[in-house]
Amino acid sequence: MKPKKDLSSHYTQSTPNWCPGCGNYGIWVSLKNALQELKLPAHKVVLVGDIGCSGKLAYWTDYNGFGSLHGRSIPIAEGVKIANSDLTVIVVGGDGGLLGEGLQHFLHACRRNVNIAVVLHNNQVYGLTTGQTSPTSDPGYQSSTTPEGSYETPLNPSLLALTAQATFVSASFAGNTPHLTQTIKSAILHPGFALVDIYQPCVTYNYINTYEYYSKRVYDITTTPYKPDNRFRAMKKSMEIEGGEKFPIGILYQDESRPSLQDNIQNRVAPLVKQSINNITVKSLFEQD
Amino acid sequence: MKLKNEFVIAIAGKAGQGILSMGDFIQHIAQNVGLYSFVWVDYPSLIKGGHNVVFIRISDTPIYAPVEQINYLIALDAESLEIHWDEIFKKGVLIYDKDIVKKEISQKPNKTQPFFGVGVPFNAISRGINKSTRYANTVAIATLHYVLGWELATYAKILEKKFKKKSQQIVDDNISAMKQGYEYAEENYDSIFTHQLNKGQAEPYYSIDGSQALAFGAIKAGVKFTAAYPMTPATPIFDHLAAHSDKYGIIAKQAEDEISAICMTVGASYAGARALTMSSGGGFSLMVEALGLAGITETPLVVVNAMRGGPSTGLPTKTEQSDLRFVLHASQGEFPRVVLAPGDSVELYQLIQESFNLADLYQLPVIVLTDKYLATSQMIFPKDTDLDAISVDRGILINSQKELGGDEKYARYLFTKDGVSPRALPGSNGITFHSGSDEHNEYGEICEDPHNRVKMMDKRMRKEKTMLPSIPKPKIYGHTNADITLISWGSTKWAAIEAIELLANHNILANVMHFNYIYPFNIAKTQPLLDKIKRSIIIENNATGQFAGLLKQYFNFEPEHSLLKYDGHPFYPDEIAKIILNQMF
Repeated sequence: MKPKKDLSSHYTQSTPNWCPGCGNYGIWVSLKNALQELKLPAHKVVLVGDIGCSGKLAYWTDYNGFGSLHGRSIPIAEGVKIANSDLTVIVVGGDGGLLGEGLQHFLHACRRNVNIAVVLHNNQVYGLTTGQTSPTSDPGYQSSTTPEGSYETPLNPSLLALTAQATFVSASFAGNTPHLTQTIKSAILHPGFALVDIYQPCVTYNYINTYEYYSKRVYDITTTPYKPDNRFRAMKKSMEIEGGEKFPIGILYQDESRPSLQDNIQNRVAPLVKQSINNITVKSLFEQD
Repeated sequence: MKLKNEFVIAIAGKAGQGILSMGDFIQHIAQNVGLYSFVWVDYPSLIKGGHNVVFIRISDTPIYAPVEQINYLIALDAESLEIHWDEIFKKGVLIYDKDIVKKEISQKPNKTQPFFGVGVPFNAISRGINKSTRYANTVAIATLHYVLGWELATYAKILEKKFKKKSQQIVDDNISAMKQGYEYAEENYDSIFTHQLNKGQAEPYYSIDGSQALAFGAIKAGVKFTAAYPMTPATPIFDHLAAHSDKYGIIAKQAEDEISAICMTVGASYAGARALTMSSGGGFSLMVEALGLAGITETPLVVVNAMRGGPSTGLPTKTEQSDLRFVLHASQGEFPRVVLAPGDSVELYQLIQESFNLADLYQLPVIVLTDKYLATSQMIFPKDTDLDAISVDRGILINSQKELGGDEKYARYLFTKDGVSPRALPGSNGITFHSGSDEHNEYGEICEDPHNRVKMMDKRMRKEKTMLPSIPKPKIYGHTNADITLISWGSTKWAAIEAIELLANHNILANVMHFNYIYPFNIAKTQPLLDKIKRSIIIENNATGQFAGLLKQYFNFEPEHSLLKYDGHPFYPDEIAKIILNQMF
């Protein structure tokens, strides 16, 4: 018997299998709340999942989900968005996929200003493969691949995005779902590439960057005089995390003036999936020259 | 000269000397006077300098392959002369710049120089016109006209047409260079070598290269998205699509690498646009993981691999057919796929369209194998070819929840008898679904249940059987009951077909069995053809006989003889005939 579907809920019947207490739950709830609050029709939303605990989120909502490859969620999302700009396209992935395996795609999507939102589950470990060191692990982080403790300096996702000319750069915390919901909403609404770098506790493998750790250190920048309209200031702000004591959350930078990839395309070419492809004539191509 | 009614002109020099455009001019002239032409190129991997050659084969009968002969050589530098000295046919003609070639060249053939020599100061004449060497090539082509006994009228018309857009001065200077070159040759050389092939009655044809044929076919098929990363010899396909993108509503996106290129293509296709990516073997190597993604998510995907000499960087600008086994097995795990290998411009144009249909109908990746030789050779494409012969077939598409009826939940991977599940696109009204690179159940949800796994694997693999009616048997060219069958696949097609006639001169009745649908084989239709073969030779541009291995595996068929070539060059009909004569008869 086929299960009946309650289209009003947008909450899937298949249940996440993340560890109890995982930061992914907060992100999952916040993302679904953001989509609900934006009143986006479910069939017009595509979640492109990377590989890892975070990427499975794409399977666990009643929106469209495409489970992709490790590190490759961004270019797949770009292709979806370019082909059908009516769709809201959101990437869900982790620090391993988006900043390790697929860093090049992350950087080029920033400068390409494709109108997609990237929800970066930054838990500073490779959870699904049992806790190995990630591109954002703190120095000294010990795991099966770095038993002596990591001696590499972690990447700073927001700073990276800013140097790569991203037009929307934000940070939030999986333990603060109201804030995260609002931030994801802003990212989805932004007309261009949008990053939400989320501090996400991994309760199983990361005993340092815990809920408690972040709760003590994050602060909402809207409670300060900070304005997200200056790239240089945003870079400075994003570097606060490098001391390990202060984690600003909120929109660090937003520039709505730069045309998105979609803006550039729309002037030239009709939406790809809406074009009829029957009876195209090519004789003139043969005749030329 | 060992000629029927045909000859080959070679233009040799350094990259950047305008050799390709000279080849274009000569091809155009030949076509304009009703002659058939076939143009191929040989060049190294660099931008300026190096040794480059363009070959123009001209005939009054249809020709579709390169031949190993040079009747007329236009040498634009001294090095070209040394390299090709021994290749110029007896009583052929060397056309060179007197001021550049210091070597003593005799006007008439002798013991050490079996060909005629015609030296004209290309550069000096050009400098006399506008103090630069920009018209030297025009002088050279004019000299060729004198040697061939061709009238200048056609050339003058083409020069006018080509340069009028730039300025009348450039037209006038070119005409002047043309006349002076011709006159110089006329005054200084006796007309003793003229080849009497100055007009013909060729059936009207387009002269297009394989990259154009493929791009035009893709446009016809409704490709709306393409992404690629530059790599020789695949890039021209992308360039042609980009050049016509505005007119045909196509987005051509240069990606940051081949991984991104194929992933964007998968994304665009999942969203519903017909999408294409292309590369050569190196780039295809990077695409391999995403090929499997298309396989398990059942996303239609068309990938062109324009092969070149491998492995690794290999021979970037030379031809080879050595990626066959690679593309057949590329990516981990097992999933259905189609591999096609067109053999000429018409097949490229048509099979790329079939590829899009097969990809849509059966929701799987289709790989089209071409190579440097096909990509860059300008072939005859008969004008009476029906350009609209293949219509678009997108397979089963569900457009809204309404079509499903009631509140039934859409199952993207519904278990069906033929293995093909009705496809919905994201954005379809009222339908949401999951697609995953994880093994999944009918609803696209992650599922590791062994029972489901087997059912889902069987469903996907079943598509290879379902599609068999769409897979034709190999084509036979020549007598059905031949003494010997030449087996070709992909680009070796016409060298093999032209060898039939050469063998007939020796009273050997030969035919060609040409494969362009490589995988899956339609075994039921193909086996009887193979069983009928008396003697056979397989012709492949690789070192290990990759296709022969497939014939053994799928048909238990072993060709009597195997002709393998992996020196970076395509096959010539002559060399095929010679091997058969020397080693088999």
